[in-house]
Amino acid sequence: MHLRLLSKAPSFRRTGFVKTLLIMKLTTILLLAACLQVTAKEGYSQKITLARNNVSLKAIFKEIEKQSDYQFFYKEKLLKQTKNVNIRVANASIEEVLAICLSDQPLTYSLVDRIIVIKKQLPVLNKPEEAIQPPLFAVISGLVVSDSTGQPLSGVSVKLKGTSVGTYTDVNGNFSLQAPDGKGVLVISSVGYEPQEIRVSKGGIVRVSLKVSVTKLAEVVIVGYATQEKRKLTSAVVTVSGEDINRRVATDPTSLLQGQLPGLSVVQNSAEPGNEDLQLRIRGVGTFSGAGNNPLIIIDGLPGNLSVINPNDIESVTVLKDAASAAIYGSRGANGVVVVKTKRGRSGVFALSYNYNAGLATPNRLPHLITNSAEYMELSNEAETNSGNAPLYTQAEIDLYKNATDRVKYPNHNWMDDMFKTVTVQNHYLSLSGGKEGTSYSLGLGFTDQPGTMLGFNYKKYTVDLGLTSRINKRVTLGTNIQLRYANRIYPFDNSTDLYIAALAQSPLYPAQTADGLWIFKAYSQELGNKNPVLTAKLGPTKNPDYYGQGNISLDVDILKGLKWENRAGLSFDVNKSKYLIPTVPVYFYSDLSSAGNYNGGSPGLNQSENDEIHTTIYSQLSYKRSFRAHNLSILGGAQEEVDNYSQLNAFRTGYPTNSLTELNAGSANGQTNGGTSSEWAIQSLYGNINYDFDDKYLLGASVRYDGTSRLPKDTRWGLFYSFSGGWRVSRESFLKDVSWLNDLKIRGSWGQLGNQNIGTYPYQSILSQNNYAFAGNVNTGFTANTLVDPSLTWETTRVLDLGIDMAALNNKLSFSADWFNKYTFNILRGSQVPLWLGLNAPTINNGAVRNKGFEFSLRYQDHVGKDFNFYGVANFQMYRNKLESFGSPEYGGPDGQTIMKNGQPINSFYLYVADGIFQSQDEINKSPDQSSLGGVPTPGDIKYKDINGDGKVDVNDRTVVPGQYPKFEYSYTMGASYKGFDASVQLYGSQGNKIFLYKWGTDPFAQGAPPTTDWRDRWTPANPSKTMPKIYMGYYGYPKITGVQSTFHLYDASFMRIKNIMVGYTIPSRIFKGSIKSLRIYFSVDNAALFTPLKQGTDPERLDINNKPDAWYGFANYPQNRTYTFGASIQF
Amino acid sequence: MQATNKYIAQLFLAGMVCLVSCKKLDLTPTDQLSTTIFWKTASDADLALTGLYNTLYASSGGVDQNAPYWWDCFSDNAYSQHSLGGSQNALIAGLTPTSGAYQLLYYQNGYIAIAAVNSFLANVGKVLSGDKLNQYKGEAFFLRGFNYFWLAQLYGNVPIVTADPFTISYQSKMAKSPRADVLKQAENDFDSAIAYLPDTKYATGHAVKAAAEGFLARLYLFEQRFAEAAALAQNIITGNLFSLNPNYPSNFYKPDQKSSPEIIFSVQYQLPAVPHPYSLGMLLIGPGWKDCQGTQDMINEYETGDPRKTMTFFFPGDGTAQGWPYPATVGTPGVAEWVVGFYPSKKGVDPAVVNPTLGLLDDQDYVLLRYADIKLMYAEAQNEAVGPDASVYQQVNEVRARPGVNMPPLPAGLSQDSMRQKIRHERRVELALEGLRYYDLRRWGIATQKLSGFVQNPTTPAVKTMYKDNYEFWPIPQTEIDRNQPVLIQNDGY
Repeated sequence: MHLRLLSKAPSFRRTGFVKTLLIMKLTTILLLAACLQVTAKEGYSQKITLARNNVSLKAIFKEIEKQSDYQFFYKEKLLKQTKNVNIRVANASIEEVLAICLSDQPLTYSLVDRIIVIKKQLPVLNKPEEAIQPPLFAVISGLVVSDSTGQPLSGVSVKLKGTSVGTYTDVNGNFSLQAPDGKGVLVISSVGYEPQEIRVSKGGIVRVSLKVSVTKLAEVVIVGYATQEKRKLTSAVVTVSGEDINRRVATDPTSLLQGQLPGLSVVQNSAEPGNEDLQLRIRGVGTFSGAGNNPLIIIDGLPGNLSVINPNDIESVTVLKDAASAAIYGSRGANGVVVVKTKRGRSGVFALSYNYNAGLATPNRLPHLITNSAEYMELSNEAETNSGNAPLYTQAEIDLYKNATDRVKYPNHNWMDDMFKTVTVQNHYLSLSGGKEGTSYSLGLGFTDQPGTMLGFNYKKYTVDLGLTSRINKRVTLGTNIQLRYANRIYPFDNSTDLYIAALAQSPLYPAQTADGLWIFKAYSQELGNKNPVLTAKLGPTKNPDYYGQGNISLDVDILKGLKWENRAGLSFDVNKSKYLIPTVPVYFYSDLSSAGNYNGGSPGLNQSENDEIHTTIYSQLSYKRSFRAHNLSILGGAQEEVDNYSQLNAFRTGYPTNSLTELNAGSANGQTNGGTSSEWAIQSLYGNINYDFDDKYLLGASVRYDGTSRLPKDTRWGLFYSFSGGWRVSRESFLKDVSWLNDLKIRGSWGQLGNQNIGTYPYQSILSQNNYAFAGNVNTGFTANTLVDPSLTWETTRVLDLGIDMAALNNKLSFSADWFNKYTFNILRGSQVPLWLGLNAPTINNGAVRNKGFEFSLRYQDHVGKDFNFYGVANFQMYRNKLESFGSPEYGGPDGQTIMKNGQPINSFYLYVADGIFQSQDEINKSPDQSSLGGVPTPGDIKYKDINGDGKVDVNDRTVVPGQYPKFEYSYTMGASYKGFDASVQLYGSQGNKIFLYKWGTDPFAQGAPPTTDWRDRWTPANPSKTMPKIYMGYYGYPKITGVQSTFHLYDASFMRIKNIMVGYTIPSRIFKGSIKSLRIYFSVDNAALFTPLKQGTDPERLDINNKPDAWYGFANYPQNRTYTFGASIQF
Repeated sequence: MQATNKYIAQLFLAGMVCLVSCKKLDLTPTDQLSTTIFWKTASDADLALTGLYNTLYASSGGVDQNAPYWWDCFSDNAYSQHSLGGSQNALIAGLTPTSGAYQLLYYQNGYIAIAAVNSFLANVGKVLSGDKLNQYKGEAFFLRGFNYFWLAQLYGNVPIVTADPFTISYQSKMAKSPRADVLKQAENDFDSAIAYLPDTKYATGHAVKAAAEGFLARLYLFEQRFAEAAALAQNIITGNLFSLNPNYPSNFYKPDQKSSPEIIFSVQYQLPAVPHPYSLGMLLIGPGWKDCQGTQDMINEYETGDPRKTMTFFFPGDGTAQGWPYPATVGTPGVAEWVVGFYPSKKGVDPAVVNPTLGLLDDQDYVLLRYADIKLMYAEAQNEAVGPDASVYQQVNEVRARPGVNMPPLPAGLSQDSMRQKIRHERRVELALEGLRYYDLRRWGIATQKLSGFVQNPTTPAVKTMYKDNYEFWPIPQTEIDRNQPVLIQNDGY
């Protein structure tokens, strides 16, 4: 340990090893003394009692060392020339004892802080008071601790300024070096801490507290199964603190991650309470397989669900983006990993805080529909006629509405007013934390009340988060984290999109209900339309309680210094119940209040289902951390097992005598159905990781995981995944030492491969499909072998190459991080393309490849002006390019074949006819390529389609790939400032270059009778030869020349920049409360404050793409996003 | 301290042992049968045979493939206002290799059934022998012939597969065979079925010999092998196992159809376990639907006084006495989806239904072959092969004179062509909405004449149906062309 010290101190070299031991012992004692001084300022009694005759000096020194904490330094040689002494003292001071011992000897001594250096007595000069002291080496030792935690810091550089003398602190934070004459200035520095200089005049012991520097370099980041100092990372990892994500207010923490982490795309599809349909993608879409693109979510070390957590309970969220960071999750890390740490208490400090906020949420960007009934009827007749149908309304009927004075009987009804409203969303959050005697705890209680801005939706959520850590003894720590959630979601029995289209399909000619309570179907029987959405929302609610819990227990043991044994066992369970009654309700025509039969929302009856999933995880690992001077090593290895059990039950009965009986037993047994099943999968793993660095300068890392899964056949079920990474902290090199503006510069690279097996539960097993047939009234069970399996099925594999750079400069005010990646997924698990004549379901096979290349960076600047004004700005940027490298013959996707999977193109590229203006005249039609195969012979006012292949006709071969499925780039910018008690922040989030396909209700006029949007007033007519809008037509498959031709006419630029949030807050000075309240902050925030987009349609440009949205068939309709004005307060006691 | 350490050591050991041996990774589904334990006992043959019949429930484009009604919406007989099965769109916009679900699914479903039969034939010998084996094979041959005949009628030139699908590499590609070969395959299958199937009445839902003979006769007619068609039809007639149902409409709803002596083959349903996915009562006349409505052209086909007109369609002003199931309202065109100028279907609607509404469940069997068709097939074949002899008159007149219909006999002395027209008329009205019209028009060579430019709805004269000569051979689905490149070539004209 102190080799360096010895080599630099030839004058103290004794006889090899013995001396070393002595010095080690000495150091230990010195340090112990230092600690004792620090802690108690009490030690041994320093009085000495001796009674010996004719003993050597060496023996006396030993005896003194035994009795006191004085230490002797001397050369053996010196003592050889000394005489034995006789001594008899009691409770004497050291000076007295030494005076006796050294009298008459050619020796003298110096005493510094209980270190006694025995030296040769110099010849006495004339003026003994001017005796020249020779240059001496004195030991300087000490302890370096962190200013904030008080914990010892290892690997801290301690140097004597202007000399080559220097050392590092050991794992316990201790150091020791010798300074000539015991004088000089010690420079103590460590990355992540403010460097400190300490003047030392005569050796001795120092205690140094290093202040954490403002930069986050010292930050410890959670990586797979362990933590690592941020500065030592060699992989692409980004992290955000709970504090940062909670600058906004949202009920689902997933949405708070938007724009916070470069490389992570968060798309919020809707504002439906409790069902925001958030999609997470790390570095693009890596695969087209059923294995999916969802990242693995790890909560406190174990797989879990992010949405169930109360955002206030989150301490940090880390995203592992590349293979190097995710490889330790092996077969589950292919799509990246999101690692969430929840809060635990901190010893010694009791903290109680309460947050409350209330927000007014209003639906944003609703379509502008024509709600004047007479105008609607005239346009409808025009559209029907254009589409070759008879007009629906007679002139007499139109005149009734046109000239009406009774607007109850002849209304201009706006259904959007029925369906949307402003609501108040409330959040309460109470948190307690603290600790005593090695035990710390935290408890968070949350309640959210979130009514929907759309009629019929409501969401209530109760969360409990408990964190507990207890140090059982010196070596053993026990901990637990538990999150529980009870959520009750209420929504109309059909989904929000279906309800929305039902609302869009209503004509303005009638209200939902008459004043005396009759439910209306439509005004006239010949009208088109859909079910009454108000009735659906009010009488057909689905009650959907969900009980979710995830928890784990951890047991950590410090076996030896640096060697740790960690165990974690966890479980998550989810019980989801759902029940809805499709009511039987008579409905009427508004024109004459005649009967229109019963409400047509679907087969009346009660549907009830219940499913549950239990997921258990257990792992055990050993980790070892060691530093040998400049060599730092950490090793980790462990084993894990996960088991997932799912079961499901459902039942249906019809024939209910009334709508108020909503239990199965109240229905008729005739026509009842039921079903249920269960499934199970398991995965076992061994994993390991090694990190090494030299001098904090050259960094190396490697991870490995060996996984076996029940989803794959025996011979191929075990897969090996691994990664290698390296980093070079250039700023530690001597040639950059003097570049004062540069605080840190690191270049890093990683490569590795990961797996994905998340497909089906039994994809390799040959299963018979069960069916039946009714032979003369007897229902027989049947089986058919109809599925092929590939017995050599194996993992889908993703390879990632990542190159990155991290930098901090200008006294750590500026930090920058950038990554380039090349992610290649191959052996994709997919249904094979089998010929149809084979007559069997395709086997799941390994085939196909996708590549994503991209770039992302993050830039942060923070500074202050004067003492009180602080400000910061963070910019994030990401882009990726997706390419299908190997697929096979093209396949079409999307609800109406709008997309294509084709080699060389991005996954699910738009594949459309290109709309090329509007035919203005018959002459123009005659001169243009024949497009009559697209829904019929065109007439003036129809859309003109482009002849892409130039063969003189427009047909099925003229569809082409149109870019825009994925954004060109995404970006976010956050800035904030504080002045005294005031703080303010603004968050921007944007996406550039992606397009959305919008059609049917809400865009196409009269889709199921849906009122056209007001822009159809500018439609093509002979009198208004529009060049952009065709003549009006019947939407929803009613006009094959448009509704049967999927073209760029329906493709819209959905680039946007959103002012995601603006917040201002004021923290009331605590002195006002005289100690009763530690702090009180009040704030006001506007979420979704503004949206800048070229999209003119009344919908939000941010939405899931057409192939990932389960209800994309509905086209335009999408539960609208909200703008929310929130007022809140948080109090800490 | 010591105790704690000991405890921890124990825990560590327990944990390690658990991790290596706790959970087996060999997991199998708990609700499905694995192929490894199938084809072991005779009862497996019953399960597999039921699985074959289940292919008759195939769905295409939102309706049951074998529900006959939707095929008439492809012709001049009826109009599908909701374009169920994609019929209306294809009628207006024409057929393409990517026309839609129905154009893909009729093809795909055919091969799913054929693969199931091929697998069945390859394995059934393992567990059965003797007569029982023959009968089971006969039923399988019948179903394969049924599906190949279907494919031959629609797409014409398609691949022929007879091997156990599990012995074929899923990566292989196949060229199409000419229609004649496909029909030959179907003919061989029907021949095998005729040899193996019992010569009995149709009672259990299982195919009988007459069903195979009847379909083979239909095939012969399609190929214009009239003498053979006449001989087969006559064979059924002289077999005397079937007779005309004295109550014409009761062939089409339960429970009456269960005892009908006229039905030779049908797709069977049974409440509550096997209802129609969509109730016929709802789809045909229910509120919100009233799909598949007869055209004016169809109505005009009926001779004056032919009671089958009102047995097959509802008419304006119909009330409960006429079977209109809404007691409160009289049937009125233009009200509740009754399209003006069209006539809702009565065939298939249970007369006992009152106020059909959502939630209505029904289970009428889809009649695919009945004795009246056999008689008319005989008449047509004999007229073509020999001329309008007495047997031709006899068979047509017996259908016309069936109890409850009692239409007068055909006038004597008809020429062969006049007789041909009479038979074509008789087929259209007797078999209206039974899914035969589209195929009849095509095999008579008059589909283009009848279906090209046909105006279904007089109020929208601009909307015309589209039929081209090459529709004789539907386009093979583009997916299939793509997956069999370069060996599989698209049919001409697409």
